[in-house]
Amino acid sequence: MEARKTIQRFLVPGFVVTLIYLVRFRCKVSPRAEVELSPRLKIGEGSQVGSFTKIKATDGDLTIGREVHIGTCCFISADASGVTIGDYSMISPNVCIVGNDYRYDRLDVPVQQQEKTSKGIRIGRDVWIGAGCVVMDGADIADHCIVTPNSVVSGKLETGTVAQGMPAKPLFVRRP
Amino acid sequence: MNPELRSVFADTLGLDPDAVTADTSRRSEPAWDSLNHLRLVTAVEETFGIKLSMAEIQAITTAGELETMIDGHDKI
Repeated sequence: MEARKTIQRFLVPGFVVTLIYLVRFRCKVSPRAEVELSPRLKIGEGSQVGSFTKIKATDGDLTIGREVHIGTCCFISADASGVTIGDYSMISPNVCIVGNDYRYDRLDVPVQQQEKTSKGIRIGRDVWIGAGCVVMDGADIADHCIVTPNSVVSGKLETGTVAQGMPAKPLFVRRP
Repeated sequence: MNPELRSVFADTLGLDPDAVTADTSRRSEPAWDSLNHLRLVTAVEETFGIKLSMAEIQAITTAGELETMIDGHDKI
């Protein structure tokens, strides 16, 4: 497994990854992005991944819907409980979506050596995550939400919520 | 101008209440940006017990227009 991962990460050129995702999922991955070739990663038709974005799915399922636009310089990582991003969502530049956490209840063991945990992340349909946001493990962002730039989401946002801040709190609810 | 609305404007946009008039507009007031517009609408809805539509929310450009809109709405 490690050898396969190493080969994929370091020996497969970016344009090959771009071609593989174009043929397999009909999505556009920038040749300058670093998207793992993993059977656990599914990207919907028409989705786009910008340059210098890194997407990791070796430790958990990562499902990206149709027509999802992921900007430049993002980091998306799925762990045991997975990460899903719904159709037509927009992930702006410099967004971090990290589907794992670490236990930190012992002081005699470095945090990096303590147990890893994962609750998973769910981002619904038609969600717009502003530039520089951090979406933490356990976040549940319902359909049609908007998260303003540089916010941190760690909990649940109800449908159509416009949220802002650290932690992101609702400031408005979209309506017909 | 309604003193409650004046107070909502002052609190939300960080203005001197005396500086808020019916002519206070999104164009003339730098603090009245897109995010503060949403904050303002939420505060108005909570204060006056009304619910505005997205079309109404987007149409608001001055404090006077908002006051007229509030007067034309029944409490929910």
